[in-house]
Amino acid sequence: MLSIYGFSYAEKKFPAGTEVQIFVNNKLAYTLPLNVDRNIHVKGPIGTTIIEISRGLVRISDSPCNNKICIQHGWIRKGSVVCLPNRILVLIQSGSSGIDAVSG
Amino acid sequence: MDTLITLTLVTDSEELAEAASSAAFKEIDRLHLLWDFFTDTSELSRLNKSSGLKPMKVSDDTINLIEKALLVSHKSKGAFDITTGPINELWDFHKMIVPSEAAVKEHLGLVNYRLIEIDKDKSTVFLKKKGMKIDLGGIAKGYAAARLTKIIIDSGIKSGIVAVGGDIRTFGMRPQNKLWRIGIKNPRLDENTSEIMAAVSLTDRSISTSGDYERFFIVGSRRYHHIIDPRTGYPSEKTISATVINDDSTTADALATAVFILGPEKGIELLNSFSSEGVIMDIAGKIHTTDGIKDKIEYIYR
Repeated sequence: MLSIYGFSYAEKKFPAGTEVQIFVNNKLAYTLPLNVDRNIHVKGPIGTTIIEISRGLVRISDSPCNNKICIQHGWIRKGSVVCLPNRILVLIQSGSSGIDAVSG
Repeated sequence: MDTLITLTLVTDSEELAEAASSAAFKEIDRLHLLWDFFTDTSELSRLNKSSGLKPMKVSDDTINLIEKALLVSHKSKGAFDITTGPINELWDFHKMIVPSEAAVKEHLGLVNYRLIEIDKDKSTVFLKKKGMKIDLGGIAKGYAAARLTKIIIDSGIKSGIVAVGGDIRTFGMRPQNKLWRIGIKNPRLDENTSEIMAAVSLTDRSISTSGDYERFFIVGSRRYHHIIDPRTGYPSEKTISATVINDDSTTADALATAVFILGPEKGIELLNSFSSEGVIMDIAGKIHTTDGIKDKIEYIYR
């Protein structure tokens, strides 16, 4: 029971996003739904990074960088994961749909 | 500038988007070199060092910015004041340092926008008292949003959004001929609330928000945040969040700070004198708006 409580709490605290945005060199390269599982091969300045979307989670599963910090970051369900050496930013957009920008 | 800049550009030409955004980012670098408070060689730092000595020749951007700042200072009777540099330096929101009362009192004597003298013919600015320091933190991002927008439009882009942190400029129509829909951040975010508290639809206008949640620390039950009342030297405690909509980005940014410091009642009077709209959450969490926007706000959480 305890683990179920913990899980539902996490769900509530981190409202699930709906979209995965992938930026390369500060530019938006892909916008993908979070609920469709797939692997995306993204070309950055030092090679190809593989981003995996699965069961509403996202991770960087392979990267040409040396430190592999991005892979160690593991799965995310909100927020972002970055690979600085390959200039890749993966962002899960939280559920404020239809909003173009936020002031504050 | 120490902030996230997001450009939304609507065009079917990737080349055009690329050219416009790289021109915009070049402009940000230029403004940063002019106005960084912490870089000794910035024009602003040199101006501050010349305080009490002699007028200094400055760029047109600096003259324009200071003029707009002074208008808001004048109309708000000093609730907005760019000469708070000496007081801002006493506060450290990273190390959670509350300055001594004596230090605040001493430095408050250096805070006075009336001691800024502009000579437009000679392009000079004179800070008349030694030790005076201008800090453009409450207005430079709005100016940057305006400049970036101009550069992007000059590059041939007809619609988009320039967001310099929370200072947002909208221009042209969103695809499908719609207005841009801009959210106002929920100032007290927790697990049960949404990221934004309200939304407004607009275009060719600017929207800026000042909130007590941007940089702060809490000691006991008191929240010390970065929006310092120039008249007291301490954080203003009337407001949680102040959002301003104005035709001009620079003015919107300065007004958001002024309204935050004044609180809802005097803040709305100030907004009316600028034909500006606003949404203010007072310290008790109650929302106040100008009449012109009352029916146009969609509340997402309140």
